[in-house]
Amino acid sequence: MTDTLYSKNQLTNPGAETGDLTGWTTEGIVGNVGVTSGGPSTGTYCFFIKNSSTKMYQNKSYFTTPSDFVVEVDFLPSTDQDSGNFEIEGIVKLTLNYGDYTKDELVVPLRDDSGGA
Amino acid sequence: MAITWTTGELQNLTVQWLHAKATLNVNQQKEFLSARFTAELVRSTGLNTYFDNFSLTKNLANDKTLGNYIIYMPISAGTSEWPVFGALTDCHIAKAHLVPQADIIGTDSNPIQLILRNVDTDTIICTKTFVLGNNATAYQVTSFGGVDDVAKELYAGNGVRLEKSGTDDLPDITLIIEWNLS
Repeated sequence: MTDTLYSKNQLTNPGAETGDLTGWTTEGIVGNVGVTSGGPSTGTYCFFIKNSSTKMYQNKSYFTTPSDFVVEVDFLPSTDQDSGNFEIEGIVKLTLNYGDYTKDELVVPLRDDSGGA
Repeated sequence: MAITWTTGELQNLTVQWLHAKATLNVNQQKEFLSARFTAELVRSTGLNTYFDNFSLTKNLANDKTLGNYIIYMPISAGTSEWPVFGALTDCHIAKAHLVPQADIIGTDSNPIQLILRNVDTDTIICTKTFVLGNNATAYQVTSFGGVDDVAKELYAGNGVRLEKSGTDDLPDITLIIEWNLS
């Protein structure tokens, strides 16, 4: 029921289904971010990022003020986290910008905290 | 934050993907302008980390204010003022926006300034000044800026006035006022 109160996905090309990085701005070394085949259950493509200091992002402007945003992502670490390596490789970050030049930031560390399959 | 497993594939191999979900509240006391959604690596393994199905959704239940009040304003030169809003019940102005018929190009020489004023308390609710670099594009929504927390409050019967100053002509605009119950 709660999910029905939320908007459609605000992101462009969120699942790489254009087969490229349409809608995303990238920073870092060319070739360290891109698109390949695969993904969880739906779609044909997914994104990959290789090496730190590489990022991809989208900016969205708003004229109204919602009470909250929900961030979701599917991810696949490069290391086998079942082997006991729980170091964080990547993050997804949501930054909210306000008119007084302050920000709020949500950092989602991407690691296996699920306790296993 | 919640992490769950989901079955999928990668380059034709069946693998277990992870799914993360988290919520961030928006500060309701500030003027919210924009959001940036970023995915990045913080540690290099020399191998690829994969991402799919990025999602950013906003809470619709509390997003909309109670009402949008829309008024068409005729072209104006010099200084003018118009009554633009009347409170039928205790309420507050949540935000204001304008949509110009033609581009408004900012200038530092006697720029166009628009003010929404609470007439009854004679206080400024919000201001938009088109100084150099501060423009508005034709047929696009431009924010009026932050709303004063005190001046925005209206009692039933109170009125709001739009004031225009600056020598340049103001093109035809549609003024959008969002309001909510107090």
